[in-house]
Amino acid sequence: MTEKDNNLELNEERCKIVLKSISIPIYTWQKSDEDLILIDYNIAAEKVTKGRIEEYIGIKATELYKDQPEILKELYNCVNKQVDIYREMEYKFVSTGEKKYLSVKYNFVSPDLVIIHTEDITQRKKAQQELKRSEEELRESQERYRNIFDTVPTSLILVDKEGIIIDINPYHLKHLAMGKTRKEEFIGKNIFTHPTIMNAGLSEKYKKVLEGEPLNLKDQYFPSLTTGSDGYFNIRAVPLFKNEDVIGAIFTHEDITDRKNIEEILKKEKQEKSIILENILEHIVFQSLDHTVIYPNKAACDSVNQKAEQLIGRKCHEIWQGSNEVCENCPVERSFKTKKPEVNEITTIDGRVWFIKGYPIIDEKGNLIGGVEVTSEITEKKHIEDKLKKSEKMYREAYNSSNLYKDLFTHDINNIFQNILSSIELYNLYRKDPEKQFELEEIENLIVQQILRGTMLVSNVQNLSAIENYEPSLFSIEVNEVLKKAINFVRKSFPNKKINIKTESIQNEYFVIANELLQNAFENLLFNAVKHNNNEIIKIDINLSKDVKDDKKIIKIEFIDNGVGISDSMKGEIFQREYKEYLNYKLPSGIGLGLLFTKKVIESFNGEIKVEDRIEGDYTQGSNFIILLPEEK
Amino acid sequence: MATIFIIEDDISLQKLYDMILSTSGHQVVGLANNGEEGVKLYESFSVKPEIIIMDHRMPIKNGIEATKEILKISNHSKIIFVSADNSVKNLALSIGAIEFIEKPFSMEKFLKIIKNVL
Repeated sequence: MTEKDNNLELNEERCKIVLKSISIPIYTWQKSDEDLILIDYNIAAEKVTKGRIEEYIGIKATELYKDQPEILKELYNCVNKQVDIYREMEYKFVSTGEKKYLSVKYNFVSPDLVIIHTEDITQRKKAQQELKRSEEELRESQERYRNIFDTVPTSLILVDKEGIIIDINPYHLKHLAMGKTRKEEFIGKNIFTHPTIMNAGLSEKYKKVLEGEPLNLKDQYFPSLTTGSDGYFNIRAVPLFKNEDVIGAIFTHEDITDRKNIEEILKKEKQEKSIILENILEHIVFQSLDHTVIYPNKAACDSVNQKAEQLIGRKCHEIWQGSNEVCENCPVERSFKTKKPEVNEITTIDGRVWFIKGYPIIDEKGNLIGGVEVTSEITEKKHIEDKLKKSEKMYREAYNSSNLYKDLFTHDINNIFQNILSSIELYNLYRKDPEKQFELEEIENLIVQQILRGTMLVSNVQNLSAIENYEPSLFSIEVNEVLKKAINFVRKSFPNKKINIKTESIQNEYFVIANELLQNAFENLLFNAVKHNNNEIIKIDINLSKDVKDDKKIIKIEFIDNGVGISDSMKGEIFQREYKEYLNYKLPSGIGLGLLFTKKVIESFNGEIKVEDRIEGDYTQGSNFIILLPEEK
Repeated sequence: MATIFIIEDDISLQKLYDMILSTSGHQVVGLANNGEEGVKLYESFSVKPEIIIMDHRMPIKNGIEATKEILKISNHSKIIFVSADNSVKNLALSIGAIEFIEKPFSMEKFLKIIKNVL
């Protein structure tokens, strides 16, 4: 071996030591036939392959990189073309299966070696990818910002710490720029000198934002806008900080003009409705399904002298009826069941009369959510109605009475006239006949009776009219005295009749509250008892006694006769007052008006009159007219 | 001369009609105080009277009701309605009364009508 050879060998050895000690993994491939064989590696390569590289010494490149043809290609290019190649690539270590980013340098070493230097650039690669992604995100963020800034339907102004406008969006230009339409007209100018801001008097408030105070103004009125009409805006301004220093601010102006206008309309409508509801005289109460008051109008509150807040939350029936239970026949409750308006009329304990309407309240989905009660006081109306009814009844009674009296009077007076006329004609006929002298006397008596009957008829009509038209004046009267006068009248009226009138009374005096018409009433009863009697001797028993009826002391006066009597079917009719009943007249001639008068007189004394058989069950034996009058206390 | 039945609740008038008719040669065959008595008495007549003098306003049964029932029993008798109540004239004639005399009337008119209906 020459010195030269020794030096060469020494250099190779030194070279190997250097290669071995380099911290970059190095692999040495040697060309063999048409392939390359791994012949060496350094310590760094041993580390990255975790020592397994040793197993691959002598392996052919075609075998090792059979799945990575690009590496094979690089290797062949390097050795065959004798060039150095540099690549960065993702590499999967065959020895460990680990994937890493590597920078690979193929160095050709003459005559047949390829030394591969690899450097792990995974960290650097990831950093580059992160940077790229950040740049992408930033770009996207900027695009998003721009899109939002340019398209948001809200005015946006971005300013620096001095208030100089940095950016302004198209919405602002369109709606708040006072006719200026180009961005450039605002960029670089101070926001405090913005004409819209100045006109609205907001400059000072905006300056505060740049001092670090966020701004939140609602319903801010801007007097003049680009569109030529006034507008309302909600303003929000946020200072932008960097290291606690204000570096700028974003001002947003949200146009709420339409919403504000709608709110104003709704508010106005609500006020109008409220005015109507509060001024209406009817009580209006909105209540829930369990009759809890949700809203009472002023009239409803006034009806119980309370304020709305004192009624809200309480039960309707508690407030107005003082009851724990829902009112009987409550129209609101019924409307909940029928889903239709219902009505009712009630009288409260204070005597007032109310007309109540109940309406079901149904929401848009068809759900029953409550009810409205509308109540109006109809006390006055009811009183007027009652008065009208009474007035109508009185008028009708007066009309019927008038017709009745006219009818009875006409009938009776015509019968009297007929009696008198026929009597006179017969008298004239008989007076020339000596054999008819007895009949002449009878006819004379008949004429006198008819004149008395007529007198009584006229008196009854006059007295009836007086009773109908005037409130009777009542005073204390002794019954026996009145009876004596009436008996005398009847005896004088029938001088040729044998009349036996017997009066029985335990006491000498019986005082009642009546007036002078009591005598006429007695006369009518006695007159009828004599007139409608076919017996030769007319018997009339008059009994006076005291009695008690309904815990009240009364005087009982009975007129018991032996006349023709009154059948059972007639008993119910003889005191009938209704005109329509009289049209189907079934009373004896001359009795109707007299009995009607008697009944009215007795009733005006708060008494009553009835008729019974003298002998029960046989009306033909005569009648018993019974008068009951309150005793004077 | 005719046989006549008087139905009249006014006792005085009943007597006066009786006297007038008897004096004029007619034969009064019966007197009734109301419609019900009249119908019963009429039913009992074996020979029905030629004429009935019928009042309207009477107790128990009025002239209209009595006329209807009498005409159901027999239509032999001619019924002369005698009443102060002119409002029932048309009704009385429509149910079968042959004449209606409104009170008050003269004896001459009364007898003339009786003569005419015979």
